[in-house]
Amino acid sequence: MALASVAVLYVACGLGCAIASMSRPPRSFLDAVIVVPLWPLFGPFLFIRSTGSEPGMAGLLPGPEAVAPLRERLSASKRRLADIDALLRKPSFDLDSVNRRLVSLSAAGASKLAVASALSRRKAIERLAVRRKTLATELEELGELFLQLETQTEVFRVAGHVDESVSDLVADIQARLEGIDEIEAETREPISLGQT
Amino acid sequence: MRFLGDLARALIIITAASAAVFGAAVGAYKGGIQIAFAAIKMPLVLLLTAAICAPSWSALRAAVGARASLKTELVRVLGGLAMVALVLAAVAPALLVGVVVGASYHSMAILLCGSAAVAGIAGVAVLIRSRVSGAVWIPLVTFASVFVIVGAQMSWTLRPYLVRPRSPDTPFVRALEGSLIEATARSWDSMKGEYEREYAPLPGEEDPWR
Repeated sequence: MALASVAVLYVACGLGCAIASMSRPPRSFLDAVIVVPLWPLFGPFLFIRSTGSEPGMAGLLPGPEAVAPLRERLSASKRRLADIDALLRKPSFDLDSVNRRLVSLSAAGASKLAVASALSRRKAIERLAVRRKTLATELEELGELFLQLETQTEVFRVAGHVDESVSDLVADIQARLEGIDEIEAETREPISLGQT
Repeated sequence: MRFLGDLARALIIITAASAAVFGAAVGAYKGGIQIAFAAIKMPLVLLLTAAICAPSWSALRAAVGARASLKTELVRVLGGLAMVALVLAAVAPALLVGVVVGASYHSMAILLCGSAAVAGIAGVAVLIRSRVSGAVWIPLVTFASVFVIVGAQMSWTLRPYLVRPRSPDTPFVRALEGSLIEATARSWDSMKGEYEREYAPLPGEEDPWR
């Protein structure tokens, strides 16, 4: 078959695609023009119907393989919170006893170094308690966001569409996990309990 | 048609516009109507090659059991193609410098080939980075090979793009003769001063070296 014959056949197919695209909504003259020379490349976008597996808004929903690591990180952070709670329950981390110790040291006329050490210990415990509170709040909010993501996934499964805000939701979860990483890094810093 | 369709349309327009800029720069070596001819033909070469290769890409992805949809895969190919065209548009000023300083025809031909090679590498890099689904390397290398072969023949079919300034006529396309590989090798030799002919005969003149 000569090159000219192949070219004529190719253009005829393209014209057929253009007519087909203009015969059904949404009609776009630009698409019809593009599909004439590029029908093998552009035709699928005009004629293959979208399915649930197609990226569209559904593409914004992370798959199970993407959610699993996020969930694992959330679980790790919860374990870290439990470790901090266990630490704060230890007698040496009891703020009341440290305060009582400070009073008794002052009353007994202890050295400046001993008082300073007790003060440093109290400061470290207070700092750990503040970080624990921040981490707990973040984890609570993150848990709610995960529930929201699960809801959106179920909504998509049942209704076939999702809210556009789901992309912000995923970005929010990732940003919050990064924030939790920073909080955890701070809590891993050595805590000086001082010399008493 | 949403999302991927819109993206595909945008990528096609970017490819066409960028390749037209490069084509115009190539055509500027001869000037006149050749600027328009090359600006029309360069996008055709890229996009028609991709269109002709698209079915092979579909077959390859089916053969390796690709998970992504056909449309997603085609958008990735279009993304690579858009990168090729953008890189070509980016090097167009270098060609224009060659035109302004009066570079030799063969130097310009080599510059053109070099630009296309760099752009091709950039396009393949985009394809690799876009995580082509399934077994990555086999379909990618096969598709790249098919693309190179079809693209070479397509560009050869639609030549000339670079025309000598002294050439009296400016055809939109020339009759098929020889192959692209032979022509590139001849340009390389000529750039080094090794000519097969003592001079290039003008149209209408007999070519005693053929």
